[in-house]
Amino acid sequence: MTEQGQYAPEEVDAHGWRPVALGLDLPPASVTGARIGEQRLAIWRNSHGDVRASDDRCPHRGMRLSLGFVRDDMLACLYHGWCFDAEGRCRTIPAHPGLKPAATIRTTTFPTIESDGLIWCRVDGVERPESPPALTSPAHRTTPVRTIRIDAPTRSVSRALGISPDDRTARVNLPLHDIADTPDDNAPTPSDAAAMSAVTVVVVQHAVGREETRLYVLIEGDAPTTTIQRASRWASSLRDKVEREHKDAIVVEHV
Amino acid sequence: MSDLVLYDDELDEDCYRARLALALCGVVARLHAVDVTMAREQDAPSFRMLSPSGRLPALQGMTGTGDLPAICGATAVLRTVAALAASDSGWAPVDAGDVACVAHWMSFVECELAPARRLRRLALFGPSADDCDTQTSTPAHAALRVMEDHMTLRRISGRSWFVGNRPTIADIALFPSFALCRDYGLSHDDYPALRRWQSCVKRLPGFIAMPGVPEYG
Ligand code: FES
Repeated sequence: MTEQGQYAPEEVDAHGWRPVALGLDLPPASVTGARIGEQRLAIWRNSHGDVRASDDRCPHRGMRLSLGFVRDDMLACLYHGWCFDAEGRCRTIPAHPGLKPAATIRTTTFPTIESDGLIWCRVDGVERPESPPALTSPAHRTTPVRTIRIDAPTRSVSRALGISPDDRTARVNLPLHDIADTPDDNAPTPSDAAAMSAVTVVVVQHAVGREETRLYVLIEGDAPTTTIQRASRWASSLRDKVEREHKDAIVVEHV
Repeated sequence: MSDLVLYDDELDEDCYRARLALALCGVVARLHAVDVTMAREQDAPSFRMLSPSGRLPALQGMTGTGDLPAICGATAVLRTVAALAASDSGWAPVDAGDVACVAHWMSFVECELAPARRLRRLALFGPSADDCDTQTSTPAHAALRVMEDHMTLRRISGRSWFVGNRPTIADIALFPSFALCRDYGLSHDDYPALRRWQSCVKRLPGFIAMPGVPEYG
């Protein structure tokens, strides 16, 4: 059995709140696609800032709603312009302007919560679920850095971050004095003096597929632009390192 | 009086670069459609007189100051259009640092994004004689990732464009590669910084779409 097969069930576990986007990556009146397990989602934000999640499938001809756009605070399908409201009900069909669409024409919607700079969604149908995990203590706010895709399984990313594959969140001490932007920076720096010149990077992992992991990178507390940029570069080198190691591991496995 | 003609193929990515540049820079040109399908007009002797290697887009005609010989290929047309635009328009920067960065990204479009263009052509129109090896999306994905990393850092420092403080021909040259990437099977979902930049480009006065590039979003 390959390693991939062994870890597959964990990686498609779709239970509980899952991060689907960094809040700042979804500006008002925009939409993007996401995935939790087998469920494809269209995540969209209206002009007032409210976030919604819908099944990524248009009830008309099955086109992906995440390819569409947000218009009049509704999610519009790119293909024939059917518009869906916050509850997923179809409200307008441009080809029949006078028609009031039947209440049965709708998409499935899913609950979302925006907290700690992240948008969370769940597709497991749990009623009245508990809140998503807090990323920092309530005293701290978070500064979002970026979203990054890594073409490797989550277990490879976990290994590089030094956490167990079940831990979806990693906290990494990123020293600020060291100019070299290498992922080895995540070696812990225990002394107080070092901690003062370091910043805590919070990394939230999401398994998009077996060979695809998405990381949401944030900084605990406020941070100046240079520090945010440094954390972004750190994430790029982490990605490159994980992908290199993963590729090498595949080669070894097949020799 | 200027009188320019752009030799154009509506579905071609490089021709879209040229049309977008004309539209955004406010330079007027008549479009002359070249049928590259059954008629293979790009190989016709009359077109080869203009564009000896049969390359599209091609721009030719009269500028306000004189004859414009046939200019072929997207990069050349973009630089020409920027030069013809109002001198204060800033599409082609004059500051040495910005000139260098624009040159860097123009060269990126020609080299690193070439696999992406080939991939799209293959996906939409099938193999042609020059597609001898198997195509994968890896180099195209790698190139978009370089753009995403760059625009993430730019977003963090509060900038909206690839170079400097305003849109340049680098943005025009890069835009179609991202906007059309769904044609060759890559999704926009993994590139939030490029999505943000894309909607800035779409909001520019004069922006035009093409099949595969929706006007909104
Ligand atoms: S497929 Fe969505 S409106 Fe037709």
